[in-house]
Amino acid sequence: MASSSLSNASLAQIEALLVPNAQSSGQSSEFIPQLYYALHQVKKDPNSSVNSLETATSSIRHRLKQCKSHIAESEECRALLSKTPEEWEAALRQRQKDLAVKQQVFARLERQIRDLGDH
Amino acid sequence: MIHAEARQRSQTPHSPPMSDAYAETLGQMICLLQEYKPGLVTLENITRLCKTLKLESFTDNIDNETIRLSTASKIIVIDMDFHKSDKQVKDVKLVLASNFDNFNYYNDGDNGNILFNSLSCFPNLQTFYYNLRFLTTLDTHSNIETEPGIAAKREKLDLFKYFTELPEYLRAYFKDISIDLDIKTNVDNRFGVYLTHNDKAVAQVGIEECQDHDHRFYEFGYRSSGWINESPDNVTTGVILTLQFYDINMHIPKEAIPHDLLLDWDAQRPYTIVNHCRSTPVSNDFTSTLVPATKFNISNENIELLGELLQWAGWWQQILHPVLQIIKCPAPAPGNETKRRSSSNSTTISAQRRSSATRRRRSSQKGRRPSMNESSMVKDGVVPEFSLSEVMSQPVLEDEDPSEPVDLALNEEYIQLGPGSRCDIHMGVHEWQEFLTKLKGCVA
Repeated sequence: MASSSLSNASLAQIEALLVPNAQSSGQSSEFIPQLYYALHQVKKDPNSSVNSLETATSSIRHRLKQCKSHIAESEECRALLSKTPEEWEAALRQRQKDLAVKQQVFARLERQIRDLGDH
Repeated sequence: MIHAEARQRSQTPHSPPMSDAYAETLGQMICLLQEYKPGLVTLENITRLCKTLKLESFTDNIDNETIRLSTASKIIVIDMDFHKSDKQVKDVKLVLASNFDNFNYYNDGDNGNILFNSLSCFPNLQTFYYNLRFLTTLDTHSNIETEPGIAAKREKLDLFKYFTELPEYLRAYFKDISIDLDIKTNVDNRFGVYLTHNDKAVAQVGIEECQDHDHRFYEFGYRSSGWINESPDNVTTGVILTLQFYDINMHIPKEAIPHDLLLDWDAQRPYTIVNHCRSTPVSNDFTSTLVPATKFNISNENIELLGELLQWAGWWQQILHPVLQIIKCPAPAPGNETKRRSSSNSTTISAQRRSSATRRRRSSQKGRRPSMNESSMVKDGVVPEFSLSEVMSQPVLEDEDPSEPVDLALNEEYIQLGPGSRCDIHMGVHEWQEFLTKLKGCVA
């Protein structure tokens, strides 16, 4: 899941913010366990732990805000995120097809030029 | 098959007081989040899960290499040892603080320690959470004496002990009623009693928390050929015994089981019996609607339902459902509530000609085909022999379809193929298979 091979710097930073990692827990702990535990504390002690949900969600909100700013700053990042991996697969296939067609056109032109030169 | 009225109802509807509604909704949210993503295997997440399940937990430094997370409730004590360096699990032990110390937390088959495996073999805590919830359910709802000083309780039921004894009861019961299923305790690192056939899990029997916290659950054991509650004092509250089938296509006759015992069912999606197989006229003799249902409350005396449900499941899975598929009759898509009583919408000439056979007949006829509609092939198989009504209603010109179709009559308890072949719910697997083979030959 967590591949460190992202070549786009902004995407790599977003991944670091969002994808939890068992080794480096702390900075990037998972959202859901944080949420259910905060809810549990609200349930257990409705009066004194009013802030716990606020605290838990504020750290999540902070991380999401950082992600948003990374996306906002990088045009390339927005372009990459505009398609799902499946859509990108299809887009790449289409682009390869287009290139193949262009290559054929060039090959034909090359042949025609050679033929003209022969005459 | 099963008479709803005869069954004693064991659960009364119960709604929580208004003040509880808030906490209950929060509890449901927490449960949903935990089931969805309990988190990666970290000490922090394990502690969170323990705390939400009302277990006390604390950590100890055992030595320079080992850190121990201990978590405990009324009965269970779980010690989880982790390597300090890489936080990988080293060992897990479960101890019960009750008189019963024979509880099995190992897999059937490979004898793996379930609790250890659920922390070491999985990328997240999903399996661990399932197992921890199972243990805390038994713990919370066991009715045992925990403090020696207090006057002895009259009512007692140790659910860890009952869960351990249940497979033996089931084994004896299945033997007596000739149900050909194996029983396995704890499979694939998940606690539970699993009913398997040729190593394939068919259903699971479980002890689960129920909505009604005052619901009384009695200890029923299978003794001298009957399910018996030896003493009304062997009782606890807040749990039910459940039977869950893994076949998501499982349907049952709507009237077969009292509705309050259906835990996972959908009355809005009846199985629509429509014949899409042009060559075979089908008569719909069902006396009850088939509805999807996969999970049942078999608490207390309702445990007697187990045999009937398993018999039905075998019949449904091995005969009824395959036959419905042969006539290309699929289960309706969700939201499709049209209920058809008429059995055939086929528009071929041969089906129109035999439309008299597609009307719904009363169950009192018990599948006996009226001779008016009966047709059979004469011995040499060349000239079809028709009943009078068929000759009268037949078009003068022969249609293109030369082979004479065989009538199929479907009921929840029997299937009749032509005048001669019949198969019913009380027959054995071998006879079912033979019938199915014959039917495939006729319909294909």
